[in-house]
Amino acid sequence: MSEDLRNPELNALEAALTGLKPTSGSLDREQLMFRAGQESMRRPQWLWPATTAVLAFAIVMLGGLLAMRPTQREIVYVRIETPVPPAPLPYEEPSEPEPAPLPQALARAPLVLKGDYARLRDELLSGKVSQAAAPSYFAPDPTSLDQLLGLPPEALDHIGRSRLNRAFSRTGEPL
Amino acid sequence: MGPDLFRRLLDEHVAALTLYARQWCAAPEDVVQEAFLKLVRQKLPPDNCVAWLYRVVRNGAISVARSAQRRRRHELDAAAQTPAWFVEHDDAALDADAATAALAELPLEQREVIVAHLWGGLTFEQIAEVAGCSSSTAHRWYLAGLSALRERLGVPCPKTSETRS
Repeated sequence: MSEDLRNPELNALEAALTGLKPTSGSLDREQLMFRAGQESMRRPQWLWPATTAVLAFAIVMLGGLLAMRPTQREIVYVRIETPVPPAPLPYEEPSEPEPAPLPQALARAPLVLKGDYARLRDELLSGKVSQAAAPSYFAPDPTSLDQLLGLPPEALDHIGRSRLNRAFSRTGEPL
Repeated sequence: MGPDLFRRLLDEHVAALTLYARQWCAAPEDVVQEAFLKLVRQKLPPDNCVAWLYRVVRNGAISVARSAQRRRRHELDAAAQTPAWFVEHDDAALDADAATAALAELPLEQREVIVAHLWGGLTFEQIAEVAGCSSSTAHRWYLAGLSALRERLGVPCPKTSETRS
């Protein structure tokens, strides 16, 4: 450099020039402040177009995926076995016991009565002998032999009566 | 950018920026206004707002001057009729009109560096970044311009009262 800034002449010129205040011309400060405020609040122009483009792209993509979805669906049946609880037993009312069946011998064979009892019963049933005259076989006390035979009392002697008693007591059946 | 910072930049530098833009175009107010609006549109404020404004103003003023090349003669006439560059002040050491005329006669690069350094407050490194040159080149232009102004304006030396031609 040919000259130094510390040259007093140049420093004086600098001081003199710095003393001059430049004008702002026709620039309106208030108008510039107002427009600066408007510019600071202005939203970016690309916001809504970009949002519209993104949403349109998403709609197209979703529509394409929906159209390309396979129509036939594979249905797979899965058998699930679940334990079935046992059904509760139905309530059964206690029924009357059935009468014991008759022994087969008695069921098939008719009753056969033997001896005077059978004859007397038949006569009684046929009406030949009245019921009053028929001896009672159901008397708890054993009836006398004279009464069974229909003989007057004391008709049999002692010996005859004892023989007949032994015969009835042994077999339990009239001879 | 907060409104307080913007207001402070506007009050402190709008006049110097207007003077700076006058070096290229006849309507520096529009260029300066557009530069401040661009500053508001920035998502993040620049590191050095003043240097940023000088760069935007310079680019804008050059662009306006290039788009009006066919009207250059009319622009020169308009520049001669533009409002004064400086405020008239009785206590000023120099006459405003004389300083305006002397600055107008300087080469563009010298005038640019002088205006940016004296009234814009930029360093030679910042001026070099704005003008697209080296700081030494900017310094050289500055000294040459001052010397030319000193000869044209006849600023007396503070030590001696004699005026050097």
